[in-house]
Amino acid sequence: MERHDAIVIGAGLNGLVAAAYLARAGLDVLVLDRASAPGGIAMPYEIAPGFLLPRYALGSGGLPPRIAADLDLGRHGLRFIRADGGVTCFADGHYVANYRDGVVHRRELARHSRRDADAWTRYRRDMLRAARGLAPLLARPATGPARGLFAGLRARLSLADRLAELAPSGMADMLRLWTLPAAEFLDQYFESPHVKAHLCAAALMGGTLGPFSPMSASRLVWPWLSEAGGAMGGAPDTLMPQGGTAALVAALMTAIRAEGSAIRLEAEVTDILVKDRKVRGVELANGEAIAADVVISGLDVKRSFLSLFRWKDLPAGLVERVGRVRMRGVAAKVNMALDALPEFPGLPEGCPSIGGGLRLAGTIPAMERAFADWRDRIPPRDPLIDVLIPSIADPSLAPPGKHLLSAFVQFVPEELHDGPWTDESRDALRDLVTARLASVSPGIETRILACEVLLPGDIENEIGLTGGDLAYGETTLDQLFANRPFPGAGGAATPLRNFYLCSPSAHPGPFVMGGPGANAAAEVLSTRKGRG
Amino acid sequence: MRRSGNTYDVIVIGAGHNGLVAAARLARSGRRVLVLEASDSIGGAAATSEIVPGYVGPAVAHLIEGFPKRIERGLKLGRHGLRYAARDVPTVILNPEGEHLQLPRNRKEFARFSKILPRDADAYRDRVALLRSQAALIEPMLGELPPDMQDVAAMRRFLRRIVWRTAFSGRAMLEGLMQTLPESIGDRLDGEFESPLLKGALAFDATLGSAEGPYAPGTSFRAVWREALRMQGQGLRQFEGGTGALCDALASVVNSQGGDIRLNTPVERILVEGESVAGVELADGMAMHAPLVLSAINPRATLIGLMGAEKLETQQAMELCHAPRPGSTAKLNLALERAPVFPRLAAEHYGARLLVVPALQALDDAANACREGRFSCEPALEIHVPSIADRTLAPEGQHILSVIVHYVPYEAEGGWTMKREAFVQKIVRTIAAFAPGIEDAMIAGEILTPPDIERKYGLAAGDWHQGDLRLDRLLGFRPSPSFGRYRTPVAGLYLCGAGSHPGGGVTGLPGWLAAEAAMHPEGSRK
Repeated sequence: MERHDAIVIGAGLNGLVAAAYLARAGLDVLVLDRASAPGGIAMPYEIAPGFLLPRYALGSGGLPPRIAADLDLGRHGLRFIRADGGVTCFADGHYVANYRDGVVHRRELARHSRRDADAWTRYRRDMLRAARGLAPLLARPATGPARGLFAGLRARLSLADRLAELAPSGMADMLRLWTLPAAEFLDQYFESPHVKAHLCAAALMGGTLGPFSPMSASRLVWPWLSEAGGAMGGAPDTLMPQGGTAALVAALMTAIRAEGSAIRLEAEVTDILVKDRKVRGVELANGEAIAADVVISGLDVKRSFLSLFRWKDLPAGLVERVGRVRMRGVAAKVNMALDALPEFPGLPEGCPSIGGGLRLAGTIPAMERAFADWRDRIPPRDPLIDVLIPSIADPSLAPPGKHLLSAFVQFVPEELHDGPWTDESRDALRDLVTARLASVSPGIETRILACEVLLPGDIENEIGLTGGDLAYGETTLDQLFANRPFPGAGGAATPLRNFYLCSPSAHPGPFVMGGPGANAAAEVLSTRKGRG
Repeated sequence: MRRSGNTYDVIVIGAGHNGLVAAARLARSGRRVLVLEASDSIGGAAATSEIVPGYVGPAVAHLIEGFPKRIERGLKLGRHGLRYAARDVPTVILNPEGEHLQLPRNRKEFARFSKILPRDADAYRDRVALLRSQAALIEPMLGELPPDMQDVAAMRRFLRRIVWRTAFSGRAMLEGLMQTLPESIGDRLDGEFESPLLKGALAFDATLGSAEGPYAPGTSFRAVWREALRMQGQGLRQFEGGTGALCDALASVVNSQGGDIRLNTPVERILVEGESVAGVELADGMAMHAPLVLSAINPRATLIGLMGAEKLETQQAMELCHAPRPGSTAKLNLALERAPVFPRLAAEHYGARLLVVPALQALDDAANACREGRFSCEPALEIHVPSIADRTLAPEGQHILSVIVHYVPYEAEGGWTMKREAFVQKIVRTIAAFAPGIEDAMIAGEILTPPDIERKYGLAAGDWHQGDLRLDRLLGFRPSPSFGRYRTPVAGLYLCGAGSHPGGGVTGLPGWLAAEAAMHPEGSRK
């Protein structure tokens, strides 16, 4: 039987990152993916000839410098582009732009409110402080209480001591950030409804909470995690791989192959082989069995446990625990090819922030309504739309003079209250998105060469992501850190020996690109070292 | 010290139950106490009110579950006339289409319960066990002063104690708590139970008193907190003579120790000399002097309204400046000319706490409607007929029906004046679905919407709890980090209301602990 040190199921970004780390450590790794191209949700794909964009991901975001440096991706040709971090356009014609430069950014805020421009300094300080506290927690497994009584106890006692040393105001700040609704948290800093909505929208994208849901404020801190976030005094910038996610995937593939490991596409894993409660290898759809010391799954937690294993091989209660993990689709992806650069007459000419993304939003109460519609499974009426035109910052992605548009529509239910999505309701959503785009960029509708709408159900059907939840499991606090993917897990290791999770279903979730993959590789290696 | 008519050892502002507990404790320690109450009666929201002559109903709170035995004993309330009309009151969920469901308190009741809900019975037992073990972990914290957050050593002791306790209490405690703290009660119940009735009732208990829906993150924790308060107390019980009997007994303690309680005496401002409190000034301009002032009214009204924000540092004032969270609970009291008849309700359950709850989804809709200023077409109610166990409340053969309504907006769409009638009718219709003919038995009624509660009992925005029970407003963070241990920046001025730890409910604990803090000011204790 073919045998490898490690098998990674799924050639998504995290799977590739995990494989690259393990290959660099000298392991013989085999990456298996059922699709004909690597990349998972970031799979590069041509919507029209010459127009290359990631099919299910937005296309922004970069690997943390730590990972890119560890894997030496620069040597394999990977470069990142920094763009100013986006503009929010409101239905009433107002806009708020993000600038990296603090002076420019404060001037931008002062257009809406002088006091808010002053409050920015305080807000930025608090966000950076929180991000700095958070970053080390994300770069290693969250200690689950399952890790042995005394080791766990020691760790928690030292955590208690560290908490005790926080000044009361530090502890209060931390509590506020992790428990308050985003709207209420922002009220403590800003007064302009546009500034508040601009920041609030960023916190809602991809999440399952509304602006008034408790604990939604914690999402405000994620954009600040990248080491350069707001380093120049302004808003965090947007990172984009040069050449799109295709380049990112290609660099990771090169890194893996350079170490002598292999990637096999069109190889679907149907079963995981278990003997004596230990994972021994995998079985492919064609019946071939491959043995491995460890198996690392890049699939979501539900797919990993519920469809790859025979349930009787799983420890008692695990099926129920995994079944209880909440995964719900919350966004639709819209991809467009445009035959010219859309114009934005409402924005200043040459505004650099457009390259970092465009967000179409309403006021905070409108966001709450959109959220309520999602909960009631009503087709969105006033959705939040996140738009990226990656070809502005990187013209190589589209034929000369032409452009790409990648968008997320937030608060799109998996299924409607009166049944599944129909062609009419899908067309209605497409028309709504086009109309919203046309409201800030008149004439854009005449420039569309190709357009497709991918609903949560489509995403689930095409790549097997449960519920079409691109976050791989809701990111509320009861499903983060030690609770991710389920309570007591808190890392890549699972209750099954030799089986690890490297998808964003595992800590630290979807917020750190490649983070779950890097953590999984680190855990595999430390366990091997412990045994060796 | 000079003991003129205007000089006391302690002045307590507000004669609600927390103010009176604090006053009684201080009076018993030998201090000369003056209690000042703005309205014409004592008790605040824990009072008894006369609906029409001869019919006495509980003004707001109707059943007591968190009043600790040690306060009752410590103040010798039994000697001052406190009696119970009913102890260990059961909870019954009214079922519109089948057998009513009593939440079991013992083995025999559990057998019945599992006959009605065979598939949920074991899950219910497990849930109660888990809830108790989690509550047992935090219960001791409710009955003591929160640790001083400035004191690193004290904080370390406090946090280490939690870690030790969780490590050795089994059941993977910390793991469970870490999930329970942030999750929503709806998600938790959906994962455990099948019966919509049971899920609705458990979610109702966890969300009552707050405007959050059952699917809001953080609501699961409230069930634990409430269970912990229950453990501090002595189970669900009813005082003889109505809820106000508690305050009467407390007042009697104060009076017997030589203290004064003055009604209709609003305080105009709190007098501060240098860094210390000097007393209060009344609305008529008269000054009352005392080196110690405790305020049971809400923290914002105390510190900004009565004392003045200029005595606070910017940070402290900012913590208080947020608008109060509007209350979301209404109260309806009905006087009935005959006993209500609930078909299918066992005779021994007439005195029970009766819950009318819709399924979780509808409860969530009700919360959303409330946020938008409407009320749900499926209201969630807690009904109690106090006159079953206590015959003194209504004339012979007649009764009182006391109803707490969950998810009622503070600002009704179109204004309460327009909506009040429709609202009452909706509630009465809902009750009539379980007790047919109740409309005809009504002879009088009293409705307290959140604005009415604000007006009548002075509770800001009609919020019974003087601030929501939120994860960032617990222990030393309640009402806010700067005022977490009942103390204020002014020496001798203390907070003793529900706005302080451990919060709302008729527990007496904020008053009891504030008195403790006042008797042992920082520094004097070694």
